[in-house]
Amino acid sequence: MRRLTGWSRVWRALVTVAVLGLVINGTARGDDQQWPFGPMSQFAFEVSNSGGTVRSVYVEALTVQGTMVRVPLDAQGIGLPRAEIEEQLGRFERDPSLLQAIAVAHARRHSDQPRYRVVYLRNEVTRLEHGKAVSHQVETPARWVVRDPANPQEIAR
Amino acid sequence: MRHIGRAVGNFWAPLVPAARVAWLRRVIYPFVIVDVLVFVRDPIPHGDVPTALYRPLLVRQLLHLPEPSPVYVRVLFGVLLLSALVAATGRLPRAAGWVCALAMLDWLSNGMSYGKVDHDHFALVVALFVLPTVGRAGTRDREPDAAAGWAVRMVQFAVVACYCLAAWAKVRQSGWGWASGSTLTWALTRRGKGLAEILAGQPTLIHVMQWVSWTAEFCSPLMLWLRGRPLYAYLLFWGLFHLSTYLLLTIHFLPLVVCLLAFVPLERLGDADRTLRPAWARRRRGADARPRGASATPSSAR
Repeated sequence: MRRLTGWSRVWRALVTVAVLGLVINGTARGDDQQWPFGPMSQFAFEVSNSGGTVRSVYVEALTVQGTMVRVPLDAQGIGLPRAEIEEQLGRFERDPSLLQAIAVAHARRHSDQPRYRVVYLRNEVTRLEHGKAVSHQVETPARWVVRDPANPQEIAR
Repeated sequence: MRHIGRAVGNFWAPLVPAARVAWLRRVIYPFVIVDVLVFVRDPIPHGDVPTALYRPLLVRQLLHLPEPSPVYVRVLFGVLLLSALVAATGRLPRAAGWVCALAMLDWLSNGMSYGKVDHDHFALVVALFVLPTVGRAGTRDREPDAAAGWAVRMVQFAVVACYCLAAWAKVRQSGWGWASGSTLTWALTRRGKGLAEILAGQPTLIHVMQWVSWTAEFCSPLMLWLRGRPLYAYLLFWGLFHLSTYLLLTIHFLPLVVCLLAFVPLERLGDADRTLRPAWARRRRGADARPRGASATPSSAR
């Protein structure tokens, strides 16, 4: 039987208190910045049964060849999943020039495909009534004409 | 007073056969490899994403972890896979375990430094940081060990925290009316196909599902005291719950699911291993199969 003694018992007690304290604090008053001790807020938001809305963000681009394409939001696409675009939605709305980064990432990862000339951030809004979808509407919260679309570069900040 | 002290000590660092840690290593470290190759694949593409979209988490700022670059993320990828591979074999449990824990922290925090933060890896991160503290452990080592018990208990605490605090976060963010709302409808509408679309149109059923899952989350600390069938029933519930979210929403929470194994007396697999091994192998490794010591602790002790 191997028991804990002395210092090995003390540091484990301290670590236990620290880990539990941090993770409880994270949910009680923290935010996602404190990961891995952030709030366990997956699906914690409330969507009203009537008048509630479901928002689905996606990105479209007009290529230099004049075709409109859906930007692939995943690891194999531009390297950013949809959720990451969604979480930074406010930043894109305040500063549409951030959409230049999407054109840059696409050019780096898919050099064989036509470059993006204009990038559109879209938001599909579904309205709920009595828990059921009753209407769909597409908004465009941000739009960016890509600088140097043939060879897009990051904008210095 | 001494009795109370002993009870508290037995609760947070119970005597558990070291074999359970050995088996957990055989599951957790291979899972890390799967996780990196299949589920959390963003860090390598993040190396190509302009830093304008990089929003480093606090942990990356505190540890001065560098901005992801194409070379850095690929080196990290190699270190992570190699350390997980070595740790999975049970060799160099401390060195390989610590490297794997730190590399995974870097990998995951990279993945979550572009806006979206997931909450399914907390228990896995805790597991990776406590497993190396146990040192060498064999799958047939039935000696009751408090260091192993503490590591197992920490993973259990982390699992329970994920569920229980998720219930609390819903109250904090949405109030007590969360379960009567349409959050699941929201998720099914965005991600669901087939059956999910049909379910999305059944508000009463949605409310029942939300109440059941929310209640199970709130009551999850009971898992720390339950034993035997009630505990296994609770674990089975979570298994089915995560399977259904995967089938309906393609959200699996596997990093949390593998950590549920900390509640299972995995050390019994050593007995099954001995029983199932062919007779010729038993003869050849007769000495190896001999138990190291009689255990006074029931194998289901936590």
